[in-house]
Amino acid sequence: MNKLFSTLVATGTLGLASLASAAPQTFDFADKKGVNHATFLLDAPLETISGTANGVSGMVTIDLEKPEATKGEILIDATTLHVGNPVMKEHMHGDKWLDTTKNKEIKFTLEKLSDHKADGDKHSATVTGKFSLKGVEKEISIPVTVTLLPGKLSARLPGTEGDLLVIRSEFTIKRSDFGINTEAPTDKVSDEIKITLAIAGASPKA
Amino acid sequence: MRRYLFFTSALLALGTTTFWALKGAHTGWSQTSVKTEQLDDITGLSFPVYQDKFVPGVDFLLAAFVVAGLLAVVALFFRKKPL
Repeated sequence: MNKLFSTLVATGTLGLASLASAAPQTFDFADKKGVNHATFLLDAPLETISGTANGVSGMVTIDLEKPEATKGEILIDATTLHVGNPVMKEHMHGDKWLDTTKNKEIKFTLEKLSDHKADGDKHSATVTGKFSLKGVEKEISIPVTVTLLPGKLSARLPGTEGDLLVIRSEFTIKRSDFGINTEAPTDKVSDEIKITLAIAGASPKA
Repeated sequence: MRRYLFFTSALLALGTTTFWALKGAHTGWSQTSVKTEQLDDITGLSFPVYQDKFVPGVDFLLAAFVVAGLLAVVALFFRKKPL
């Protein structure tokens, strides 16, 4: 009887554990360490401009058993955009360019995930969603690679058990699509902005 | 005075070029912060860290050449000393 009870308890525990691992997980991308960042590159024939932004936040809910149900949003504080030249930085934040006083957020809202491929804990997919920059919202599709790091949260936040999710993406948008100083000559400031996103989110265990 | 101004002009141009070359001969705009990459061992992500550092660019070089050129032009207004 005791043996049967133990078997039932063990089976139930295993069942719950597998259900728990299949359940959707929410990852928080706010990062005090400053690791999460986006870089941007405008490579024009006469000038190359590059910089970074590290004010990343947002939440993504993902179920690796059902990745197409992934939802969430990633935000970047536009005021954290940085380039090495102070005059260029001032212009970039100014009203002709990004107008960060009025448009403090750069946002990507994830709406659909397709072409999902898995290789162990590494997943790749195409994500479609609304990208909002300088008050203009456009639907874009971007390639992403997602790596789940099970149980690695305690290494980042000692004393906190949980998982980490690393998202990487590289995509290109057009400056003219978002009304960013459309008068600026494209031989000096490229119309194409290559954005690279490298972020990690935390999902503490309750 | 003429000779002194020519000498200052040449010294300024040469000194600035040497300073620019020693600071990395950066062909872009001058920078007041420099990016270095660091690796986060846990996630494997490399991330940028900025340090305050002045790196002279071509604008710095150009400004020095303009001042040196102006000094040379001013020098032309002074008479040559008779031998």
